[in-house]
Amino acid sequence: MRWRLGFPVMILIILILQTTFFSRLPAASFGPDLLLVIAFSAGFLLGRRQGLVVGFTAGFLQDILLGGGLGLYAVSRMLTGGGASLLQGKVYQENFPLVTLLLFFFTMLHELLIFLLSEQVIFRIHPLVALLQNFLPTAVYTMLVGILFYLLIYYFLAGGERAHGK
Amino acid sequence: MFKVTKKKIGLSSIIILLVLMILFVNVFDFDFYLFRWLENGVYNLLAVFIGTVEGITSSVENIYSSFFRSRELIQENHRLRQELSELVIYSISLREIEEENQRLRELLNLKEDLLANPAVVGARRIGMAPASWEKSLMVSAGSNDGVEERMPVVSYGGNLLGMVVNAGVSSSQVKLVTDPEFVAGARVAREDSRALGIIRGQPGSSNLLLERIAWDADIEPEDEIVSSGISGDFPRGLPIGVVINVEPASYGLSQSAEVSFNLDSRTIEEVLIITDF
Repeated sequence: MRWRLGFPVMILIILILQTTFFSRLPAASFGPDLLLVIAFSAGFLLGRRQGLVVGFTAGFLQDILLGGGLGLYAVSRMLTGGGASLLQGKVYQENFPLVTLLLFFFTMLHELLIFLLSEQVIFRIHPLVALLQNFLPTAVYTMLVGILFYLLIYYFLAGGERAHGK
Repeated sequence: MFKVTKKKIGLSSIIILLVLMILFVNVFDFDFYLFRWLENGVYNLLAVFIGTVEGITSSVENIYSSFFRSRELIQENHRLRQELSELVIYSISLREIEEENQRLRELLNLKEDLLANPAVVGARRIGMAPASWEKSLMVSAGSNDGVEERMPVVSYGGNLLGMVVNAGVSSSQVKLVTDPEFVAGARVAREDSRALGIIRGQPGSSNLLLERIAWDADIEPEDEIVSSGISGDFPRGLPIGVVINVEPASYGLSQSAEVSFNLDSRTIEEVLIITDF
């Protein structure tokens, strides 16, 4: 039940970080995609329902900050949360190197989905340029910073400390 | 094994309906009052948090500056005072030219369409929208300050920065010129050329693209590009950027030019929203 309170607070903190702090840094497009990490962690650690709900909430808030209302990110984050839940029980949640790699692949998939669904982008930039300039930097950045947030969620919101205690 | 239950079917149906509804609303660009109301409410709430954090960050930066950069600030202050004195002298001569211009316009019965005494609202940047391709800023002025959607936004040196796409109560969202969806009329600002085109942002680049220039139009690298004011959305003559290179487009039926944007959106702290022009 801790996630019901923890995730909204974390989404809010991450949205503030993404709009204020990370946007000032010159790396990647808009910094590490921590909202994706939140959606991924919710689905992977807690299950499908939580993944979908957290993913949708995070995406919806992001869409609002983009001025477009309900849109692309609400769907893509929800799919990320739902997709990550499919790995629950198949991959050890404590296998942090593997989770780091999963974060990389989920970010790549998410960036690809956004690219394919953005009509003003897809026909105006070469896919290879998008891959090198956008997908890869964002995926690497998200993987490196995201694992720290995954650990936070794992220990404080998903009961990881109890599992380790046992 | 995966069991199909009534609960699962219900949940899946809700998700599919939601996804379809979102795609439908976006594709056909519908504007539902309930959605708009909900969005504005959530946005206004989020903007308070973001504005507070940004305010605290700015205060800390200012304290740091005043402690550790005092010598630099004194020098900057001295330089700015000098520049101000020069500008005062320059503005006196400009006033003379303006009066002369006005007299000549009256003689020729020409309508005034330059950006004369525009009404502006000052705002500071409170955040940048988090997205892969979209480029937009959040600024600290909203409908309470008279800001409305589609108002032009300028920044340092009067350079065109973008357009208000959503006005909250005390903050607004500004779509930047570098956003792939941004489009505005622009022209060359050279004495012997007034070549027209459409300026738009490019995905994955901080440079802009000037498209639909006539195939025989006179445009060269180093030409300054300003807003044309033809659409009525932007005042005429706002600086945008400088031409880097020109290429034939549409199999030689037109030209397109890559334009270096005058501003760096990451370093912008203050903006001016033109509320009337």
